[in-house]
Amino acid sequence: MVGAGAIGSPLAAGLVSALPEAEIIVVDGDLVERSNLPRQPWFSLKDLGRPKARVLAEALGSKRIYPRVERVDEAFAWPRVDLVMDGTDNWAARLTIQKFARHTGIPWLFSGAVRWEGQVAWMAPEGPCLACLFGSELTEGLRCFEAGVVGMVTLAVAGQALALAQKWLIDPKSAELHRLYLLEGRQGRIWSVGLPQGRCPHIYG
Amino acid sequence: MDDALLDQYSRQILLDDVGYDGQELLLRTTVEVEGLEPFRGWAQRYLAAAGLQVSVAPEPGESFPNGVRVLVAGRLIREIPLPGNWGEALNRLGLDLAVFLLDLLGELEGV
Repeated sequence: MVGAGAIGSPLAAGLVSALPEAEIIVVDGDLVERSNLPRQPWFSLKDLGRPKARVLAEALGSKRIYPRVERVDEAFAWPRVDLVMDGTDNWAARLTIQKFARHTGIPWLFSGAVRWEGQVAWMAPEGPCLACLFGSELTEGLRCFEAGVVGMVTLAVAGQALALAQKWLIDPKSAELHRLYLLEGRQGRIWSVGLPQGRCPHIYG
Repeated sequence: MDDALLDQYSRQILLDDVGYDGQELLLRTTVEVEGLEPFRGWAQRYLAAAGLQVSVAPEPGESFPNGVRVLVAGRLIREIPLPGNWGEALNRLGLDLAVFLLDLLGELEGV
């Protein structure tokens, strides 16, 4: 789990409950800030200034969560994992995740939320990449600190990501993994679009 | 709201649907949550984090064993049936609580 914030914290909490044998490494170099509290409700005022990954592990009280207070960048020493879950809020971190996942041949889960909307996609090792889905420019749009975000929507995004991880464990070839899921919190709706078929044409060196 | 609360709720206040006045209304409103654990606890956690005062029914599971429901002043506002799968349940809970928040804001601002 990369990111212990608005998506990462409910996702880690859900993973602990839903997957009783999973071991979860939570990586986040950020510290708890007051503005995090409305959508990261495992943190409280007494946690301000403490590392998110460590506070989350303490709050969940599970021996299967391993916090790492680090940033995921080019220098990050990746552990051996079966799946990477994206709880970040920027393309740079996601591209780093994607590069690692492509090199090691493992899937990863893209997720994001801003305002009342969210997105989730299963990123298979041989399937479409971020450039296939969003174009090669990957221009950073408005982020939560600029546009705002609803905590309940980040919970819904985490739930969708968890649901896809559960599907993968039951049936790795499920057609439901080959879709981009779009969530809309004003109407409580979710819909999906099919991902492009075939191999990803982009090369990751 | 003082500066600390403005900072705390800044990401919600940025939203047109909430704004400063909407956040003030949320902070003054009490809701009651009842239903199935552990999801009642998740709902309580997220509603309180948004700034609402949250109370829980004394015997939460019996009133609505298939999910979670949220009441304001004893009046049912939203009933959220939840599937058995953890991921799908959290997904449904989050989306329905978002709709509840928007509906509640509309109702509070109309009073």
